Amino acid sequence: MLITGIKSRPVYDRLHPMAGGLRHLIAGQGSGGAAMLRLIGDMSNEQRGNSTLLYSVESFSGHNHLQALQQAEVAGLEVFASNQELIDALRERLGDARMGTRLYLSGSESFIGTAMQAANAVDLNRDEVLREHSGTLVRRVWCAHCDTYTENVTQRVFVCPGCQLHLVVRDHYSRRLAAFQGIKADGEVPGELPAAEELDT
Amino acid sequence: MTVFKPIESYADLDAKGFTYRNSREAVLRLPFPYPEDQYMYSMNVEPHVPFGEGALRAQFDIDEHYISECHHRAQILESQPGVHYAALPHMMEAQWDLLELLMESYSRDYPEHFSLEKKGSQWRWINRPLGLDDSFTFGDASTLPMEPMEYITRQAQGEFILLEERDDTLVMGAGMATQRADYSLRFNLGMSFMEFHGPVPKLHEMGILQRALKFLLRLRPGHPVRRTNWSITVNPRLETSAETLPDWAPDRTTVTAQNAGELVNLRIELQPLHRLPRSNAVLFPVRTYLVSLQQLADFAPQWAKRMHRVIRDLDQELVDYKGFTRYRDAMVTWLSQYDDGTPVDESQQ
Amino acid sequence: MNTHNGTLSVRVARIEAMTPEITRFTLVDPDGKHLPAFSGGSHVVVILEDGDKTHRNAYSLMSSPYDSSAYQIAVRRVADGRGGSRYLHERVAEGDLLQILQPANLFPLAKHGRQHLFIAGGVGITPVYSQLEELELKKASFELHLAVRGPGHIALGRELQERYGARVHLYVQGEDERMDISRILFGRPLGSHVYVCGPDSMIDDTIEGARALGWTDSHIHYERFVEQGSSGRPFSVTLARQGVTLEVPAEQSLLEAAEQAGYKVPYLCRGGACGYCETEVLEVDGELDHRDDWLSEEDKLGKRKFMPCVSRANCTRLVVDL
Repeated sequence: MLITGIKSRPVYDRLHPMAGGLRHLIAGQGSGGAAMLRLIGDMSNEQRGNSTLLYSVESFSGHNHLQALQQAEVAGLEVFASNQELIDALRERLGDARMGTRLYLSGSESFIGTAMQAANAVDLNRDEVLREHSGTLVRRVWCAHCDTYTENVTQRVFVCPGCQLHLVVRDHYSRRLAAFQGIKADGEVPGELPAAEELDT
Repeated sequence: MTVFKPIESYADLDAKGFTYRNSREAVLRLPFPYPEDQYMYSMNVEPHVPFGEGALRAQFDIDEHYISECHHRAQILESQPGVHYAALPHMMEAQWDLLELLMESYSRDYPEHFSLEKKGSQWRWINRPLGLDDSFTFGDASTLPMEPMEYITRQAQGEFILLEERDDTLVMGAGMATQRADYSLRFNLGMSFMEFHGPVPKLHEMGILQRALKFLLRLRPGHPVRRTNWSITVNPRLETSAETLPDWAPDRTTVTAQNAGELVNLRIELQPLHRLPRSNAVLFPVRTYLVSLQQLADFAPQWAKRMHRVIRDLDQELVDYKGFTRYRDAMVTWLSQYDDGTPVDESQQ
Repeated sequence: MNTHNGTLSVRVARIEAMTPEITRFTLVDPDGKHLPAFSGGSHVVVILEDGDKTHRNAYSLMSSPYDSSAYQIAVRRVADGRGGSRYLHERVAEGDLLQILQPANLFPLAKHGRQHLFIAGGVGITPVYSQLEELELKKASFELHLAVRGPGHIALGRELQERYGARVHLYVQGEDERMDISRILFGRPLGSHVYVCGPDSMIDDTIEGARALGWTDSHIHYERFVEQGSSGRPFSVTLARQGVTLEVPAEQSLLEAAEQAGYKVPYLCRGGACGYCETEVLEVDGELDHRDDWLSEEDKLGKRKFMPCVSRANCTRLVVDL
């Protein structure tokens, strides 16, 4: 079974102003604030005037761009203490938004993945969303055996907090679950584990 | 007329052992997947038109294991709810398409076992082997005991994946997969064609996936195509999902050159692909046949001879992907006793 | 059902004049069985043997995808056309048998859409019929905006108003205000889709209007009336795989000329929309006259690909991979 080199991993974009859009929703988290600032800098005055920022200060690596974002000349900035609160608010904004709106996401893979679940719920298509990955490259992993999600996984092999099995993280990503796949690492011979390895992602 | 065997077991669920066996007739009717002594991926697709008297005669093949397989499916669904059957909400038209296709095909190809009567949208379905006689309104899910896809695939052999066409690709939208080979249905649901083929080696480099997708997107209703695929499974175990890997992967360590004939099964997958008319979805069925090396050698020695050559010379990446790295040599040693080096002659078995 | 080489034999059960130009045909299986199912937006190709000519005309299915006991098509009489619609209007009677191809869909609904807006003109209403049936069954949100040329042309629109009430908006030329496409599209929620079927100007206005409001192309769907086949200056073509050179006369397409000479070329829409008959250009010493909606601009300029169903050539030598 392939563990690495699988081609289902998401391919991310670099945020840039989408010319056709009339309104811009820009949501980011932690170190993703840097990409938000760069995007705003690349925008025309008119685009900035039609932009709303959503920013969560939750961060695995401790990066915070709140101060700089507060200086940005945009239509509005909403700040959230956690990624989950931001995503709940995003869901609401998208539900009320009109055609012509563009969505920009930047932050961890887990943040982008769960925000995309909200975008898919309102039928936002590939040509209406840009996603830029930033910050640490930790992964969210789904256990195939007990259905537990583990955030911030950094090792190729780890112990699932749900079922206590040693899982190997495959480079296989499910958009719907917004997670990588973890399966029993010593499936054939109990105790025979693959070499420990830091996930390069 | 197909004669069905009494219920056999495909898993060692109740510690009574695997009782699954093929008759000589069942082996000789297999869609054997190796046309040559060497095997590599190719676009091995052909129109799905009836051929011969074996597995390619009907639109959807059933054989002597029909009742056993339906029984096995019911058991697995009950033991792990939500794991082996799943459908995204917008797949309902495709579910009805599938129900209609299976009912029409079964009743046309096996009138002695199945009947379908239509009066407008009032339908009556009779399944004699399973003792069912149900009336319902086509298009109204509330008139069936469960979703249409689950209802009809509980009465069908093989697994069934429904792919939705979206953004110029095919996205996995629903599946009945109690016999899937080493993947997770819940994980793969919602993935695109390129994504769910991600773990298969070589396909991307060979450009096969791009061509296959382009081909499938042009599939038209009424013009199904078929291909075969294969894998290797220790014991006649149908259910080998990613979820239950801890249950079946250890079996891979038990194979020796002495017991390979008994333990190792060739797992043949017949895949008749259909474009469905109302939903525009693509149906990807995987009809799985298990046959032990011993039964293959006993009843179809020419195929055993060919299989020896295929397995012996198979690309290592494919061996790893199909999961028999640990016991390939044992298989080759066991099969070698049926290979005298003469050309394979299928008319001689 | 009778299928033979992918064609289907159907009996004309009913012929109704809907407008001065449009006639509706109801088609059933000769043995009273159900016809193959189809999805909203599908069409069938009707094959008409007219003396030494064969017409293959595509018509949208208007009946419900969930009742396959009959198909309905609407045929607009095109007086100066190639003869297929005239043949259907003048020579076909109730009880006659027709050959058709299995339904195919080049204009499907966006399954994930949250709101569906239809903009249609004249006979462009036909594919919308089956799409509305499908959406109504799913209880999905939709609106239809239909423009017609005058009071004598409103029968189909009225029929739909009876079925779907206020969700159907009629714009009768000379009586009502002009359809304002930008206003129809304004302020729609995310996940809206617009489908337009009508004259080229209506399609262009819709695409332009939607883009101006920030809609992306994945939410804009259109079906042009494909004028099947093509006519223009004669040219000659070499079919490389067959090793023959054919003359394509002024009133035929390459596809038709090849079929008449006995060669089978795969096709579906015969109108340059589906891409099914796309072929490689192996050699050309002049200009290709691309008339399809399928190839990209890059492909067209590259002179490497060609659609035999509609496109033509101005050259002395053209070799294609057929």
